[in-house]
Amino acid sequence: MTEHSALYVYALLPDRQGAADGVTGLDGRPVRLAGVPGTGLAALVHDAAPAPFQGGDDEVRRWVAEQSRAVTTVWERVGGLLPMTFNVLVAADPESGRSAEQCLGDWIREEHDSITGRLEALSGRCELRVEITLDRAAVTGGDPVDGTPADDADGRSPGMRRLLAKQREQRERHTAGELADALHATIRRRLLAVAEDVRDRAFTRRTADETGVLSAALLVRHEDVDAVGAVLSEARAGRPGLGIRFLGPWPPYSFADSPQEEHAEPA
Amino acid sequence: MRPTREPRVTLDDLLEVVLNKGAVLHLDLIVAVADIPLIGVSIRAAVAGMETMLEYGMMRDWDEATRAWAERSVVRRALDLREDEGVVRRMSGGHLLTEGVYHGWRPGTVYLTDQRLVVLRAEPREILWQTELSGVRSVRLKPERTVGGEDRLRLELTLADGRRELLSAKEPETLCDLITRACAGHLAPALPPGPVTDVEPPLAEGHLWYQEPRRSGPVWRGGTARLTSGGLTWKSPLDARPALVLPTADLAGVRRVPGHGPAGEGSVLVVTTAGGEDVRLAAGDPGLWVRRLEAARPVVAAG
Amino acid sequence: MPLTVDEKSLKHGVLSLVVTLVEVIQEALDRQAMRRIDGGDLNPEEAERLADALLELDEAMEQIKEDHGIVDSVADLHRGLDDVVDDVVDKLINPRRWAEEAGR
Repeated sequence: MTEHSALYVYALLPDRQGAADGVTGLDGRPVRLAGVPGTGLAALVHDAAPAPFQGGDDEVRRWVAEQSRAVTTVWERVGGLLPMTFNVLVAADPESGRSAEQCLGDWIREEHDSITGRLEALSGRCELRVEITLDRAAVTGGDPVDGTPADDADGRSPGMRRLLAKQREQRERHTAGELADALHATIRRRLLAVAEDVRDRAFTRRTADETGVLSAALLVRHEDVDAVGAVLSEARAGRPGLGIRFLGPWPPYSFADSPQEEHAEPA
Repeated sequence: MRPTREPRVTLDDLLEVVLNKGAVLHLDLIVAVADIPLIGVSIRAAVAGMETMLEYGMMRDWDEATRAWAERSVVRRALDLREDEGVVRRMSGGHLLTEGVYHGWRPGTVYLTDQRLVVLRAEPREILWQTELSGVRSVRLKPERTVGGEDRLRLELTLADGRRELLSAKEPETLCDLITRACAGHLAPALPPGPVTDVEPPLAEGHLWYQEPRRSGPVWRGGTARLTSGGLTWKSPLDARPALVLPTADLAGVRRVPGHGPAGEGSVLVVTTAGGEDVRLAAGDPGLWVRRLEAARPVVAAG
Repeated sequence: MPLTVDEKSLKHGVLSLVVTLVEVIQEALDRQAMRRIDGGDLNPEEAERLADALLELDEAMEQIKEDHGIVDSVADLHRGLDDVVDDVVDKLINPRRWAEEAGR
């Protein structure tokens, strides 16, 4: 295997000339469009050794940032693409003697219909990330929850005092959790009136004093980004203690795979 | 609000999304894809195995046996308890013997049970002094200067027959406090009673389809519905929290509607909210859910 | 999110994972203890012994985390696992559930 016998794949997109001009990817490598004749599709790639990129945390963070920057730049130029995850490399096939580019092209030809369908579904849409948390102190007003005597710690062993404190905290969590359920249902409903799809995502930031309400990726038409912002502003104004992170727009990473709910059927 | 793309703010989120999401080529010649171990999934599997074991009650006998053993191991070396008696507190201490020719402190261990106050000597084994709690009229702390010239707090008990007894204890204040409470007829429960941490058992729980309204048209989603006295919730296994929360007061009506749902012909039911909105659900046994929801619905005052 | 896989960070990661799992179980035990004390299953002596044993476990765990410098990574991991595991483990070791199952 030669040094550059594989292709690092960033995204699949409509073959649009010049879309990758001047764009660089991992470690500043220039990226290019590898067009697949007859399909109207292309892959955003650069040549690479047939080995995954590995390194320390900081290096991976830098690579991910570089990958994201390249994909985002091209995405903004063409309006729609299928972003790949990190470290997607296509190797050459020594048995048949096909190069990596031929292998990838054959695969794209086979999958042409599903790729095109997905591209259409995502075209003109972006991904937004919404993370909503509830400050528990604001829910319980900093006071112990009803029914908990103030501090009944006298005469108790240290272990028992610890359990008492835990119990109090647990009740606060429970109260906050019930409120979060109700808020989640309401906000999700309002967001879905504006967004086209939603996927629950793990929280990336949450302190010990906060209860998570909703953490999701939204698929939104570009022109509706402000409407999502309005829903969030309204939610924040109506409830003190609500923390909102609103990130994006990004290429639709979370929606690149086909719709997640197999059992969901359009009504 | 406007979304931000400021890299310093979003890098962690991007990292997560690029590493976990994005398309994966299903192609034999892929060298590598980012591989994040699914810790959650494997734990769930392990825990599911444990659950089976526990469900068959294997651990229950073990629990009872262990507690009985722990109780015995504390008690056997010490006080012989009555059938329904439990130890509240034990600490080293003694009793001042004032009867007969001998006058002096006899050291041992003070036991406060829910029935008695006992001073026990382990070797040679002897109950040095004891009283039923019902026979204690009052208890107070009394300072005393010892032979060594130090001030010590003693416990002075007045009994029903008017006799006074003096006890020593490692923690006299604590013991005095505990005896006071015990004699008041109510040993304080170990934890204050409060809203129980247990989740209220649901009136009904089961698989239900919920037609989620969306901009691009409503979508039937499968999930779990829970009906409690507080209301109806529906949660998809894919979401962290319920997508539908209807407080009982909001359940204005429920009816079956004709038509095809994800669970087959005639599986659809409609819940009308107090705000006049229709929530569409579908169930394998829609009749049962209608009855359940009818039963949970607030009774509307006549007129 | 451990991305590097050299030997040192592997040890660090595995230790953090183990300690986190013990913490999760510990929390379930705490809750279980509260339930039983609340429910009057235990006499006050037993209750205090149980509470103090749990405190000792807690102190030992803190010491282990300090000694190995994994306080932060355990906290991170714990948050991630919280939502998944807490309920399940807690549900499992609640004897009231066993009793219900046995009574069926």
